[in-house]
Amino acid sequence: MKKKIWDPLWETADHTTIKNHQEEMLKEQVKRTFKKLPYYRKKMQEKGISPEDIKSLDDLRLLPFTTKKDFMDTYPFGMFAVPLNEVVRVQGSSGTTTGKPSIVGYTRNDLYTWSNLCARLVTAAGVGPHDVAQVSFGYGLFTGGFGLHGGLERVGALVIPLSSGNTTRQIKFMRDMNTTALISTPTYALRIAEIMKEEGIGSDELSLKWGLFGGEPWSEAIRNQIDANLGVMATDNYGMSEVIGPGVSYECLERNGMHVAEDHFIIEIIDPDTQELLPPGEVGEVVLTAITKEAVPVIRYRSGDLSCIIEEPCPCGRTSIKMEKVRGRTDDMLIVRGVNVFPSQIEGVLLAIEHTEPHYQIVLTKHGALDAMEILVEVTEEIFHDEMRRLKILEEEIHYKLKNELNLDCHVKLVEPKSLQRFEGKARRVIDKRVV
Amino acid sequence: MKETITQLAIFIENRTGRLAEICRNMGDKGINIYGFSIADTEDYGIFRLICKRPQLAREVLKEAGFTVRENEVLCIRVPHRPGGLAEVLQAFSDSGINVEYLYAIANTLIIFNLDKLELGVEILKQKNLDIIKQEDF
Repeated sequence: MKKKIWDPLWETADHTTIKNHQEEMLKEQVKRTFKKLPYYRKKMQEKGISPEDIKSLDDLRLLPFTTKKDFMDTYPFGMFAVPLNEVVRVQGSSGTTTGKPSIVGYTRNDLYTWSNLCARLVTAAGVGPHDVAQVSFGYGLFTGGFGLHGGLERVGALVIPLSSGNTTRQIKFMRDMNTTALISTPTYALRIAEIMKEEGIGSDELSLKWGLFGGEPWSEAIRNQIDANLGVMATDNYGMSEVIGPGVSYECLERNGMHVAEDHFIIEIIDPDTQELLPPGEVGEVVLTAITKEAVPVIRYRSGDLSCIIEEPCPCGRTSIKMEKVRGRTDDMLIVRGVNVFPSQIEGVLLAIEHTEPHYQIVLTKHGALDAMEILVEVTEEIFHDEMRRLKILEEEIHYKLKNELNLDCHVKLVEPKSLQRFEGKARRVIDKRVV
Repeated sequence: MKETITQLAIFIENRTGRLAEICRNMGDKGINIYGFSIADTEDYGIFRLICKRPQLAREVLKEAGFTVRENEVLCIRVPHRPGGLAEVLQAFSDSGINVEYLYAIANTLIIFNLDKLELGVEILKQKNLDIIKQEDF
């Protein structure tokens, strides 16, 4: 049976139509961005480029990049190209190096675009009006919850906005409401499967059919595990708040690459070091340009995600190019239980406590299905005390402050100085023992 | 002459050979250890010790990469009879002094760390209790 395509006009458009549309929108977007956004105008001027230089799609490569740092530097509204009264929603992400969140805004049209993209996403993943969809993504600034919620309502599914956490309740709702589609991070899906096993609940007692997972990189091995343990068809979806949120690209039921919504985003793959464009098939950093966004028109956003472009036609009927499942990150950002963590955030917390350059190590492991994060802190004379009680208080303080900063629970362990592995005199900051 | 003695506290992870390494380092420098105690948790411990030439010991251990803290404690010769220790503790308690920790280093010599060290010394003097000084070792 041929599966439905939500937006056949664009999702099955021919190459020339897409390219012409992209070119036209890009030229407009660059003009508008140059005019409305001082931070980007400055970047263009520094490169000696004016909007008139952008005559075709090929000229995209002349434009300067946008990074997460730009969002932080211009926090809260410096990336907005419309007056605030035209903005109807903000979303954002919490993981930043300076403690500043990065905030994005949406106009009414942007929200319409976004829910339409998410409608494409959920349709491609098998979900339709007869499905009961449980959203176990967090609702809040994180784009996962509200993004998928909008798309699911748009296709007419029955939406249960449960948000994340309270796994026993998640399972109860899945059982009681005959949930057919689960929307969460892959890690959380595994967690649910784990609790089901503990409580002796088989996937045959549930009505689950579809699993829509995103928010972090996950492997084919994890997919097989989720498929088997939850009895779902697990698909991947991709996006980040800086660009719009989920809906930038998404897998269809072929599960061989994610279709890029090319009528709204131009994707490039670059060598993260030389910044040279890479041809299809070569793995590099995903760079995205949002050509239709009104509130925050982001040009050449460096995602930090590693992937490559797949050009083969897809049997599903969609004609858009695809990107491979994300393989990892280019920077030091870690994704722990779906939360962005920068080692510099941990450094900041320890610096405030120790008043000296902290020596620490982040150790990531899998505790069952969940990521576990352990922070090893070298005990210096400044923080050491002969009373055990004081050391315990110190441990507690570090733990509490890290939890506040990262929105994530971690285990703090005090270790002897110089006991952490050092690389060219510097400690190796991250030991990732998780297998992606 | 000070009434207190210097104690070294050393942070040690629960790893094989760490204690041996501390003691070997001190032995190599001819530093005698008079007594010690260990407070431990699952992951790490605090090795507290009383030794000859604590300043030198501290340098030696720091050199060997240990985190060392130096602090003052009281060393008291507790009467060697039933109720002897109780008497000392009662005297502190009556004066509102809190014992942070204590440990015996030799027979009747007990190391005390108190939240009010000076007041502790006064109390002990009133009680005519024998305070062991650095020079007494």
